[in-house]
Amino acid sequence: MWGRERHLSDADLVFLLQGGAQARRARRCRQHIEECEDCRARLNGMQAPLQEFFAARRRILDEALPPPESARHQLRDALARAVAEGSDQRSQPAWRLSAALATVALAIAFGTGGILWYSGNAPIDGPSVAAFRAVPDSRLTPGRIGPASSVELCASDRPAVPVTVDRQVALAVFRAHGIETPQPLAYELDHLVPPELGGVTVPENLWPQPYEGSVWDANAKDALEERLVRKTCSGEISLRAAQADIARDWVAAYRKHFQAEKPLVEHAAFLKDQPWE
Amino acid sequence: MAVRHPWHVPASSVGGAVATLPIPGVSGKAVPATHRVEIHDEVTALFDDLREPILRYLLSMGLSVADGEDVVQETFLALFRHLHRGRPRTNLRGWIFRTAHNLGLKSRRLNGRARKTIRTPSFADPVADGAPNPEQRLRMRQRYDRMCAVLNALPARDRYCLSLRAEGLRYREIARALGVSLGTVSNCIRRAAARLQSVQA
Ligand SMILES: [Zn+2]
Repeated sequence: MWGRERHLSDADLVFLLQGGAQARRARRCRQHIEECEDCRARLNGMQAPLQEFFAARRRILDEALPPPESARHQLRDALARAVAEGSDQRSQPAWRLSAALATVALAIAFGTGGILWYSGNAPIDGPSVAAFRAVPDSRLTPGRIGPASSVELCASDRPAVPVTVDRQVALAVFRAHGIETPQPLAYELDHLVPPELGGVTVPENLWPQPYEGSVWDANAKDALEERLVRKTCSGEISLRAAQADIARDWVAAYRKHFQAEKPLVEHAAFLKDQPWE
Repeated sequence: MAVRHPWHVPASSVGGAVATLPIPGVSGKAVPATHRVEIHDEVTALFDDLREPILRYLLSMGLSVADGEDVVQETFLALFRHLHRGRPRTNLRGWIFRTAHNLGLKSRRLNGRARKTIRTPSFADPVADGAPNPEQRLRMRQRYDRMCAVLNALPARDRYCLSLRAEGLRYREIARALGVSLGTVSNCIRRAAARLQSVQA
């Protein structure tokens, strides 16, 4: 799909700056860089000032850092108290005691309202990825919003609150969508209307969105969410319109708000990476 | 230049503007930690590794050293509770920086020191051995101030993003720390790089 004559995008260059990636995309980009003087120059032009800034920043901030000893002692004391306090409590959740269940946990993907389903070990039996649906079944997931106004949602420096979904609720959502044993790393438990747009964490607003299976995946939806938040907070569209668009058919909403038939290359290319290694 | 950290020295050509921070005992896999004492030791080890990066990050957010140290303490106590409850270890460094970031915002509000810009501590301390001479320091300082000035025109999120990158976090870790998508992280880095490119040498 990428001809050699096609230059790397800025997103590709930023991706390369990170280094260490072994993905196919990284190989493709590196190969292009080796062969293309223009892109090599662009990469260096991007990298050199960053390195200079990082080095200067490091040097200057380090001069302000006190030695670690007293902070380390303070932490050790506080931890020792925490260990002592914890020793007469049974605070491990009961499900941790079951070896079978202990391997399953919810990792929280913050901000986008997505919850990644993962397991530390291989699943027990018959994991399955349900047939791909780009848009959730509206009978099961019509979307549900809370009372928050755009003023509240758009308040600057509003710390993104981690969204947790109760494990039982998560399992119930998977089951409702026909997935008995969710395959690890295959889904995001997605808020159809994201919390940043006033969506709430109830089964009617949650659905298992597969990472693979179509260009209309979790990454494209994240890009749409970001766009809608920006448009809402800049006053370009109303909060109600954004909520309605994404709840009705988010793929149609993507096409409408990005004026694109398919997910944009920058979204697909950059965001296609696995969120966790 | 005094190199005090093994992961410092970003030097490679393609890739690796910053090397990756090592995390002992955290491979991304869920390691069942059964004992509080084990968790205690793990948290202490992470503290030794991450205190300086987190503190630098908090200083660049505009916190004082004292407030920053308090936030670091709170962050690692929260980490202890997090691990003690058997919570996921996936992207643990992203989680730690997220906690520090949110506590940092809170501290900044509470202490009425809200700064919307990158602040740099003053040069009061004596010159350490091996450091550049005062003239070189002054020039570097002026240049750094100019870089901060152009970065301060960017949204706060871009600066947070850049500061986290400066501390060696990978993009997915930054995404988790700031609660944004990978695409947002990419755009932030791109904008910041473009800004810095505009600073004349
Ligand atoms: Zn090229």
